[in-house]
Amino acid sequence: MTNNISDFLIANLEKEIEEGMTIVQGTSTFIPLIATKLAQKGKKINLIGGFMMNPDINPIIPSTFSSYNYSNGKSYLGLSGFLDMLQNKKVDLEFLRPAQVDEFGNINNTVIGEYKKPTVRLPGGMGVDDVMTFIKKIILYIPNHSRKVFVKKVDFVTAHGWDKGKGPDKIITNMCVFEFPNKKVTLTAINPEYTIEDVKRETGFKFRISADMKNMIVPDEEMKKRIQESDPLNIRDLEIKEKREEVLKKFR
Amino acid sequence: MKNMKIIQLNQIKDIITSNSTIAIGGFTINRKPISIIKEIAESDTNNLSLYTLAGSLDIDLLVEKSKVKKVMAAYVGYEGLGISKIVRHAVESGGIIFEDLTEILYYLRLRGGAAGVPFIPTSSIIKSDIFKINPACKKIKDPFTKEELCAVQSINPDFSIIHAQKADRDGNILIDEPDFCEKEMAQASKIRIFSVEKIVRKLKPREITIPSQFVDYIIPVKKGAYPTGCYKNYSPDIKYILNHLAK
Repeated sequence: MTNNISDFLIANLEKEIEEGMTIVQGTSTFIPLIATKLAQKGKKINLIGGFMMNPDINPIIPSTFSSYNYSNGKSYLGLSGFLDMLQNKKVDLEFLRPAQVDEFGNINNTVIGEYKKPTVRLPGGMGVDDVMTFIKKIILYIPNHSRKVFVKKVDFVTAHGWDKGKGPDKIITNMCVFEFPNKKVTLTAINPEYTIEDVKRETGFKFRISADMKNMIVPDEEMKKRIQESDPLNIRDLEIKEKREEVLKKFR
Repeated sequence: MKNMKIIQLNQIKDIITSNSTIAIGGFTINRKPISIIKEIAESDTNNLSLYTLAGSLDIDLLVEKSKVKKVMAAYVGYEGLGISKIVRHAVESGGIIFEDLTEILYYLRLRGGAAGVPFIPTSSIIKSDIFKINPACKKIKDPFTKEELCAVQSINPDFSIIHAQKADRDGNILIDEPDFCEKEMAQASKIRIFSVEKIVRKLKPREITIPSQFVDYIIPVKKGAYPTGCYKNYSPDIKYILNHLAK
């Protein structure tokens, strides 16, 4: 891939953030953190970051809940203030990153294998089922589209999908975009560097193909420059396996 | 005036008892009561159940010393810095029980405990597998709308341990940043222990996050959260944490 994956995802996530939306920053999701920072510059949005209202984002600590990453917060919500807003359906958008996702958009961030004696214990899902239940628009993003992530059936339902209620609205990956018209997983856009055959090869379930297939955004030099200026420490690349060490070196 | 006591770190071992449930404040590598945790790790206490939203080094230090029976959390890890190999290994080998929470589950159990009600309903959780594995979740019908909901059982932890930026001499606590339900945590818990960066003469009423009514012990300890961060005092020591993870 000639394009930097995190920059490519940031450009495609930023597009989803619409004027007037209230968006919440999740745990350990650094690619959305930078996409939101870009969106804050051009669009009027409400951001809940570090459980503050409308802070500026200064990505310097590899923890999305370090208050040091935010400044000029207009008020403090705290966790309870945020969760009360959430349950009252006052939050419009969050980006989530699943370890596994299936054809219904069920997410697993808990365990691989049996719950009580797992082969792999994952860090845990934080509030993914809470936000799936109450947030208007949930977008999953996946930097490493593969059959390891896209499975026929998730080992554990950390957050529910379209077979049980309202699931995620979109899945945006390094290869393509899936949406769920009529609750059916459907390929709607593709990274021009890949083919539909590539996507099929890397996806563990069958999907529909939209009659109106679009190309995903490929960030131009100007966009890449804006992203780099927003994230000079390359915190966004902590989510890219091959680049993690390079970023962490700056902190060692 | 409330009967709050100012104590020293080495008195922790005489307060925390085995087989108890301990709620821990903070979030991943932010404002974790690490100085208190280290005292517990070195004490004779064992068979502990831990309750926290998002754990990291706090959980690792206690699991490493075989103090833990059960971890109740929505997340254990170091965010961008990496996973907890210690907890991962302990769960995969059956050494400890991990009982997953969601954020709402974590919050409502404490809120119910703080308010003195047996449970609080929510429409979250019920469609996820966390509903199936967490014994604090049961199906209930809304008596008004007949909607099916998840009843979340309240919790009253035996202890809560929380690090805060400031206390005053009357025993009031200031958490000087958005909190992670530490107020509900202190209200719900039986014995509340705080480490603080600084004790000031008097906090203004509107500066008080947790009133002294919900405070039992205060330990003045500079850098009490180190190597996790304490906003307005020090940021997390990333280098130190990376070295811990490389072990």
